Amino acid sequence: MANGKYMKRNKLIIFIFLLIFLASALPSFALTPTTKAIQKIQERETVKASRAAVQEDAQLTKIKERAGKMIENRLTSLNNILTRIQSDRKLTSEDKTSLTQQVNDMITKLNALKTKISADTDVETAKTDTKSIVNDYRVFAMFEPKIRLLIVISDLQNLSLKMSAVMTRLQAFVSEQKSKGQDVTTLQTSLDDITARLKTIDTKLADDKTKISNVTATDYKTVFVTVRQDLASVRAEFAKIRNDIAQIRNSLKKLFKSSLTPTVTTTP
Amino acid sequence: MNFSNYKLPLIILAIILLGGGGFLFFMGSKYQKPKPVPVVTVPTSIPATPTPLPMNSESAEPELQNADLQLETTLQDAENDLNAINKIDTSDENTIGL
Repeated sequence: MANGKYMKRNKLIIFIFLLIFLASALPSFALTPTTKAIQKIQERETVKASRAAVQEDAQLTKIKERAGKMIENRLTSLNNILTRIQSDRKLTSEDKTSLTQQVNDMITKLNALKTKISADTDVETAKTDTKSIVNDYRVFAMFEPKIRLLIVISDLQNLSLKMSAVMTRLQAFVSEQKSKGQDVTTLQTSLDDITARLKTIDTKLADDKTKISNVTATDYKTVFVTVRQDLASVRAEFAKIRNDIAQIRNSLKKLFKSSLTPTVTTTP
Repeated sequence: MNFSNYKLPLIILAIILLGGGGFLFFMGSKYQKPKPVPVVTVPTSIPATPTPLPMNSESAEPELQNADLQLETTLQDAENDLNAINKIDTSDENTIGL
Protein backbone atom coordinates (compact mmCIF):
# COMPACT_ATOMS: atom_id res chain seq x y z
CA MET A 1 0.00 0.00 0.00
CA ALA A 2 2.82 2.28 1.09
CA ASN A 3 4.67 1.23 -2.03
CA GLY A 4 1.75 2.25 -4.14
CA LYS A 5 1.62 5.61 -2.40
CA TYR A 6 5.31 6.20 -3.18
CA MET A 7 4.73 5.21 -6.75
CA LYS A 8 1.96 7.77 -7.05
CA ARG A 9 4.16 10.46 -5.49
CA ASN A 10 7.02 9.65 -7.81
CA LYS A 11 4.71 9.81 -10.79
CA LEU A 12 3.45 13.18 -9.60
CA ILE A 13 7.00 14.48 -9.19
CA ILE A 14 7.93 13.24 -12.66
CA PHE A 15 4.79 14.80 -14.05
CA ILE A 16 5.57 18.12 -12.40
CA PHE A 17 9.14 18.00 -13.74
CA LEU A 18 7.86 17.19 -17.16
CA LEU A 19 5.41 19.98 -16.88
CA ILE A 20 8.13 22.43 -15.83
CA PHE A 21 10.37 21.21 -18.61
CA LEU A 22 7.68 21.55 -21.21
CA ALA A 23 6.69 24.95 -19.90
CA SER A 24 10.25 26.16 -20.23
CA ALA A 25 10.67 24.65 -23.66
CA LEU A 26 7.38 25.89 -25.06
CA PRO A 27 8.30 29.57 -25.59
CA SER A 28 11.28 28.57 -27.68
CA PHE A 29 9.08 26.37 -29.80
CA ALA A 30 6.44 29.03 -29.95
CA LEU A 31 8.84 31.94 -30.73
CA THR A 32 10.81 30.32 -33.47
CA PRO A 33 8.05 30.39 -36.13
CA THR A 34 7.08 34.00 -35.16
CA THR A 35 10.61 35.33 -35.79
CA LYS A 36 10.76 33.56 -39.09
CA ALA A 37 7.46 35.04 -40.08
CA ILE A 38 8.68 38.51 -39.14
CA GLN A 39 11.84 37.97 -41.11
CA LYS A 40 9.80 36.81 -44.08
CA ILE A 41 7.55 39.84 -43.79
CA GLN A 42 10.57 42.08 -43.54
CA GLU A 43 12.12 40.45 -46.58
CA ARG A 44 8.89 40.84 -48.50
CA GLU A 45 8.74 44.49 -47.49
CA THR A 46 12.33 45.04 -48.60
CA VAL A 47 11.62 43.42 -51.95
CA LYS A 48 8.46 45.48 -52.27
CA ALA A 49 10.33 48.67 -51.41
CA SER A 50 13.12 47.97 -53.85
CA ARG A 51 10.55 47.13 -56.54
CA ALA A 52 8.79 50.43 -55.82
CA ALA A 53 12.08 52.27 -55.93
CA VAL A 54 12.90 50.69 -59.30
CA GLN A 55 9.42 51.55 -60.56
CA GLU A 56 9.72 55.14 -59.31
CA ASP A 57 13.11 55.44 -60.90
CA ALA A 58 11.72 54.20 -64.20
CA GLN A 59 8.77 56.60 -63.92
CA LEU A 60 11.10 59.48 -63.12
CA THR A 61 13.23 58.68 -66.15
CA LYS A 62 10.11 58.51 -68.30
CA ILE A 63 8.85 61.87 -67.06
CA LYS A 64 12.25 63.45 -67.61
CA GLU A 65 12.39 62.06 -71.15
CA ARG A 66 8.94 63.44 -71.88
CA ALA A 67 9.84 66.82 -70.43
CA GLY A 68 13.08 66.90 -72.42
CA LYS A 69 11.22 66.19 -75.64
CA MET A 70 8.56 68.78 -74.85
CA ILE A 71 11.18 71.45 -74.19
CA GLU A 72 13.18 70.52 -77.30
CA ASN A 73 10.06 70.88 -79.47
CA ARG A 74 9.48 74.31 -78.03
CA LEU A 75 13.08 75.40 -78.44
CA THR A 76 13.05 74.30 -82.10
CA SER A 77 9.92 76.32 -82.68
CA LEU A 78 11.35 79.38 -80.92
CA ASN A 79 14.54 79.20 -82.97
CA ASN A 80 12.42 79.10 -86.13
CA ILE A 81 10.69 82.28 -84.97
CA LEU A 82 14.09 83.92 -84.39
CA THR A 83 15.07 83.06 -87.98
CA ARG A 84 11.75 84.44 -89.19
CA ILE A 85 12.33 87.73 -87.33
CA GLN A 86 15.87 88.15 -88.60
CA SER A 87 14.91 87.48 -92.22
CA ASP A 88 12.04 89.99 -92.16
CA ARG A 89 13.08 93.03 -94.19
CA LYS A 90 9.97 95.00 -93.35
CA LEU A 91 10.54 95.10 -89.61
CA THR A 92 12.44 98.03 -88.15
CA SER A 93 15.55 97.38 -86.07
CA GLU A 94 13.57 98.38 -82.95
CA ASP A 95 10.88 95.82 -83.79
CA LYS A 96 13.51 93.15 -84.36
CA THR A 97 15.28 93.92 -81.08
CA SER A 98 12.06 93.86 -79.08
CA LEU A 99 10.75 90.64 -80.63
CA THR A 100 14.13 88.88 -80.45
CA GLN A 101 14.41 89.85 -76.79
CA GLN A 102 11.05 88.29 -75.99
CA VAL A 103 11.90 85.05 -77.76
CA ASN A 104 15.34 84.85 -76.16
CA ASP A 105 13.80 85.38 -72.72
CA MET A 106 11.51 82.43 -73.31
CA ILE A 107 14.44 80.29 -74.52
CA THR A 108 16.39 81.16 -71.34
CA LYS A 109 13.44 80.26 -69.11
CA LEU A 110 12.88 76.94 -70.86
CA ASN A 111 16.56 76.03 -70.66
CA ALA A 112 16.52 76.79 -66.92
CA LEU A 113 13.45 74.57 -66.50
CA LYS A 114 15.16 71.83 -68.49
CA THR A 115 18.14 71.94 -66.12
CA LYS A 116 15.83 71.84 -63.09
CA ILE A 117 13.84 68.88 -64.36
CA SER A 118 16.95 66.88 -65.20
CA ALA A 119 18.11 67.43 -61.60
CA ASP A 120 14.75 66.42 -60.06
CA THR A 121 15.01 63.41 -57.75
CA ASP A 122 11.38 62.54 -57.11
CA VAL A 123 8.44 61.82 -59.36
CA GLU A 124 6.08 64.38 -57.90
CA THR A 125 8.47 67.31 -58.36
CA ALA A 126 9.31 66.15 -61.87
CA LYS A 127 5.60 65.91 -62.69
CA THR A 128 4.92 69.42 -61.36
CA ASP A 129 7.86 70.86 -63.29
CA THR A 130 6.81 69.08 -66.49
CA LYS A 131 3.27 70.41 -66.12
CA SER A 132 4.71 73.90 -65.81
CA ILE A 133 6.11 73.61 -69.37
CA VAL A 134 2.51 73.77 -70.51
CA ASN A 135 0.81 75.75 -67.76
CA ASP A 136 3.41 78.45 -67.17
CA TYR A 137 4.75 79.04 -70.69
CA ARG A 138 2.11 77.96 -73.23
CA VAL A 139 4.61 78.27 -76.07
CA PHE A 140 2.42 76.75 -78.78
CA ALA A 141 -0.96 77.94 -77.57
CA MET A 142 -0.06 81.49 -76.60
CA PHE A 143 3.55 82.60 -77.04
CA GLU A 144 4.19 81.61 -80.66
CA PRO A 145 0.87 83.00 -81.98
CA LYS A 146 1.52 86.16 -79.96
CA ILE A 147 4.96 86.74 -81.51
CA ARG A 148 3.76 85.87 -85.02
CA LEU A 149 0.80 88.22 -84.68
CA LEU A 150 3.14 90.96 -83.43
CA ILE A 151 5.31 90.40 -86.53
CA VAL A 152 2.26 90.77 -88.78
CA ILE A 153 1.08 93.89 -86.93
CA SER A 154 4.53 95.52 -87.05
CA ASP A 155 4.92 94.72 -90.75
CA LEU A 156 1.53 96.26 -91.50
CA GLN A 157 2.29 99.31 -89.34
CA ASN A 158 5.53 99.87 -91.26
CA LEU A 159 3.66 99.44 -94.52
CA SER A 160 1.14 102.03 -93.42
CA LEU A 161 3.97 104.44 -92.56
CA LYS A 162 5.50 104.01 -96.00
CA MET A 163 2.15 104.53 -97.68
CA SER A 164 1.55 107.68 -95.63
CA ALA A 165 4.91 109.06 -96.76
CA VAL A 166 4.10 108.33 -100.41
CA MET A 167 0.66 109.88 -100.07
CA THR A 168 2.04 113.05 -98.45
CA ARG A 169 4.33 113.53 -101.44
CA LEU A 170 1.56 112.69 -103.84
CA GLN A 171 -0.65 115.26 -102.12
CA ALA A 172 2.03 117.91 -102.69
CA PHE A 173 2.20 116.97 -106.35
CA VAL A 174 -1.59 117.00 -106.73
CA SER A 175 -1.81 120.41 -105.05
CA GLU A 176 0.87 121.68 -107.42
CA GLN A 177 -1.09 120.42 -110.42
CA LYS A 178 -4.23 122.02 -109.05
CA SER A 179 -2.45 125.36 -108.71
CA LYS A 180 -1.49 125.02 -112.39
CA GLY A 181 -5.16 124.81 -113.24
CA GLN A 182 -5.43 121.06 -113.77
CA ASP A 183 -8.55 119.16 -112.80
CA VAL A 184 -7.51 116.95 -109.91
CA THR A 185 -10.97 116.15 -108.51
CA THR A 186 -10.79 112.35 -108.98
CA LEU A 187 -7.19 112.28 -107.85
CA GLN A 188 -8.03 114.18 -104.68
CA THR A 189 -11.02 111.93 -103.93
CA SER A 190 -8.85 108.81 -104.12
CA LEU A 191 -6.12 110.44 -102.09
CA ASP A 192 -8.55 111.48 -99.37
CA ASP A 193 -9.92 107.96 -99.28
CA ILE A 194 -6.43 106.50 -98.85
CA THR A 195 -5.60 108.99 -96.08
CA ALA A 196 -8.78 108.12 -94.20
CA ARG A 197 -8.19 104.39 -94.59
CA LEU A 198 -4.61 104.69 -93.38
CA LYS A 199 -5.87 106.48 -90.27
CA THR A 200 -8.33 103.68 -89.54
CA ILE A 201 -5.59 101.10 -90.12
CA ASP A 202 -3.16 102.86 -87.78
CA THR A 203 -5.71 103.08 -84.97
CA LYS A 204 -6.67 99.42 -85.29
CA LEU A 205 -3.10 98.18 -85.48
CA ALA A 206 -1.95 100.25 -82.49
CA ASP A 207 -4.90 98.97 -80.48
CA ASP A 208 -4.20 95.37 -81.50
CA LYS A 209 -0.53 95.68 -80.64
CA THR A 210 -1.44 96.76 -77.12
CA LYS A 211 -3.93 93.93 -76.76
CA ILE A 212 -1.45 91.32 -77.95
CA SER A 213 1.38 92.67 -75.82
CA ASN A 214 -0.78 92.46 -72.69
CA VAL A 215 -2.30 89.06 -73.45
CA THR A 216 -2.58 86.67 -70.48
CA ALA A 217 -3.18 82.95 -70.01
CA THR A 218 -6.82 83.63 -69.18
CA ASP A 219 -7.78 85.85 -72.12
CA TYR A 220 -5.45 84.87 -74.96
CA LYS A 221 -8.08 82.90 -76.89
CA THR A 222 -10.56 85.77 -77.09
CA VAL A 223 -7.82 88.33 -77.73
CA PHE A 224 -6.44 86.30 -80.63
CA VAL A 225 -9.88 85.98 -82.18
CA THR A 226 -10.49 89.74 -81.92
CA VAL A 227 -7.06 90.63 -83.30
CA ARG A 228 -7.40 88.23 -86.20
CA GLN A 229 -10.75 89.74 -87.08
CA ASP A 230 -9.15 93.19 -86.96
CA LEU A 231 -6.28 92.04 -89.14
CA ALA A 232 -8.75 90.71 -91.69
CA SER A 233 -10.42 94.13 -91.85
CA VAL A 234 -7.02 95.88 -92.01
CA ARG A 235 -6.03 93.72 -94.96
CA ALA A 236 -9.36 94.56 -96.60
CA GLU A 237 -8.60 98.27 -96.05
CA PHE A 238 -5.20 97.85 -97.69
CA ALA A 239 -6.84 96.04 -100.60
CA LYS A 240 -9.10 99.08 -101.07
CA ILE A 241 -6.05 101.33 -100.93
CA ARG A 242 -4.60 99.29 -103.79
CA ASN A 243 -7.77 100.01 -105.78
CA ASP A 244 -7.40 103.70 -104.99
CA ILE A 245 -3.79 103.63 -106.14
CA ALA A 246 -4.87 102.00 -109.40
CA GLN A 247 -7.41 104.79 -109.89
CA ILE A 248 -4.81 107.44 -109.10
CA ARG A 249 -2.43 105.93 -111.66
CA ASN A 250 -5.17 106.08 -114.30
CA SER A 251 -6.05 109.64 -113.39
CA LEU A 252 -2.41 110.66 -113.55
CA LYS A 253 -2.05 109.16 -117.03
CA LYS A 254 -5.04 111.20 -118.20
CA LEU A 255 -3.68 114.29 -116.49
CA PHE A 256 -0.28 113.99 -118.15
CA LYS A 257 -1.90 113.38 -121.53
CA SER A 258 -4.06 116.48 -121.20
CA SER A 259 -1.11 118.58 -120.10
CA LEU A 260 0.88 117.44 -123.15
CA THR A 261 -1.95 118.16 -125.60
CA PRO A 262 -1.43 121.65 -127.02
CA THR A 263 -4.33 123.98 -126.54
CA VAL A 264 -5.62 125.21 -129.87
CA THR A 265 -6.29 128.89 -129.85
CA THR A 266 -8.22 130.32 -132.69
CA THR A 267 -7.29 133.81 -133.76
CA PRO A 268 -9.98 135.78 -135.44
CA MET B 1 101.89 142.41 -67.61
CA ASN B 2 99.52 144.52 -65.61
CA PHE B 3 96.19 142.87 -64.94
CA SER B 4 94.39 146.12 -64.19
CA ASN B 5 94.95 147.22 -67.80
CA TYR B 6 92.89 144.30 -69.05
CA LYS B 7 90.33 144.34 -66.27
CA LEU B 8 87.66 146.27 -68.09
CA PRO B 9 87.81 144.40 -71.41
CA LEU B 10 87.81 141.13 -69.51
CA ILE B 11 84.71 142.14 -67.58
CA ILE B 12 83.01 143.22 -70.81
CA LEU B 13 84.03 139.93 -72.43
CA ALA B 14 82.65 138.01 -69.47
CA ILE B 15 79.39 139.96 -69.65
CA ILE B 16 79.15 139.31 -73.39
CA LEU B 17 79.85 135.59 -72.89
CA LEU B 18 77.33 135.27 -70.06
CA GLY B 19 74.75 137.28 -71.97
CA GLY B 20 75.34 135.27 -75.16
CA GLY B 21 75.22 131.98 -73.25
CA GLY B 22 72.02 133.02 -71.54
CA PHE B 23 70.50 134.07 -74.83
CA LEU B 24 71.46 130.78 -76.49
CA PHE B 25 70.10 128.81 -73.51
CA PHE B 26 66.89 130.74 -73.64
CA MET B 27 66.49 130.22 -77.34
CA GLY B 28 67.42 126.55 -77.09
CA SER B 29 64.91 125.93 -74.37
CA LYS B 30 62.37 127.79 -76.39
CA TYR B 31 62.93 125.58 -79.42
CA GLN B 32 62.97 122.41 -77.38
CA LYS B 33 59.52 123.08 -76.07
CA PRO B 34 57.14 120.58 -77.62
CA LYS B 35 55.11 122.31 -80.14
CA PRO B 36 51.46 122.09 -79.36
CA VAL B 37 49.85 119.68 -81.75
CA PRO B 38 47.43 121.64 -83.76
CA VAL B 39 43.96 120.41 -83.08
CA VAL B 40 42.59 119.40 -86.36
CA THR B 41 38.89 119.47 -86.26
CA VAL B 42 37.70 116.85 -88.64
CA PRO B 43 34.27 117.76 -89.73
CA THR B 44 32.04 114.95 -88.54
CA SER B 45 30.00 113.69 -91.37
CA ILE B 46 26.47 113.64 -90.10
CA PRO B 47 24.53 111.22 -92.21
CA ALA B 48 22.03 113.41 -93.85
CA THR B 49 18.50 112.21 -93.66
CA PRO B 50 17.65 111.46 -97.23
CA THR B 51 15.02 113.90 -98.17
CA PRO B 52 13.07 112.43 -101.02
CA LEU B 53 12.81 114.53 -104.09
CA PRO B 54 9.39 115.97 -104.66
CA MET B 55 7.13 113.83 -106.76
CA ASN B 56 6.89 114.93 -110.35
CA SER B 57 5.23 113.75 -113.52
CA GLU B 58 8.13 111.40 -114.28
CA SER B 59 8.51 109.86 -110.82
CA ALA B 60 4.84 109.63 -109.85
CA GLU B 61 4.00 106.54 -111.87
CA PRO B 62 7.02 104.37 -110.89
CA GLU B 63 6.64 105.47 -107.29
CA LEU B 64 2.99 104.48 -107.16
CA GLN B 65 3.78 101.24 -108.92
CA ASN B 66 6.40 100.51 -106.27
CA ALA B 67 3.96 101.36 -103.48
CA ASP B 68 1.42 98.97 -104.97
CA LEU B 69 4.05 96.24 -105.17
CA GLN B 70 4.96 96.79 -101.52
CA LEU B 71 1.31 96.52 -100.59
CA GLU B 72 0.93 93.30 -102.53
CA THR B 73 4.04 91.70 -101.06
CA THR B 74 3.33 92.70 -97.46
CA LEU B 75 -0.28 91.58 -97.64
CA GLN B 76 0.82 88.24 -99.05
CA ASP B 77 3.42 87.86 -96.28
CA ALA B 78 0.81 88.72 -93.67
CA GLU B 79 -1.47 86.06 -95.08
CA ASN B 80 1.36 83.51 -94.97
CA ASP B 81 2.09 84.42 -91.36
CA LEU B 82 -1.54 84.08 -90.37
CA ASN B 83 -1.66 80.69 -92.09
CA ALA B 84 1.47 79.68 -90.20
CA ILE B 85 -0.32 80.53 -86.94
CA ASN B 86 -3.19 78.24 -87.97
CA LYS B 87 -0.70 75.43 -88.53
CA ILE B 88 0.89 75.61 -85.07
CA ASP B 89 0.59 72.12 -83.59
CA THR B 90 -0.85 72.55 -80.10
CA SER B 91 -1.29 68.81 -79.47
CA ASP B 92 1.86 68.88 -77.34
CA GLU B 93 0.27 71.53 -75.14
CA ASN B 94 -1.30 69.11 -72.64
CA THR B 95 -0.48 67.52 -69.30
CA ILE B 96 -2.35 64.25 -69.83
CA GLY B 97 -0.57 61.40 -68.10
CA LEU B 98 1.28 63.62 -65.70
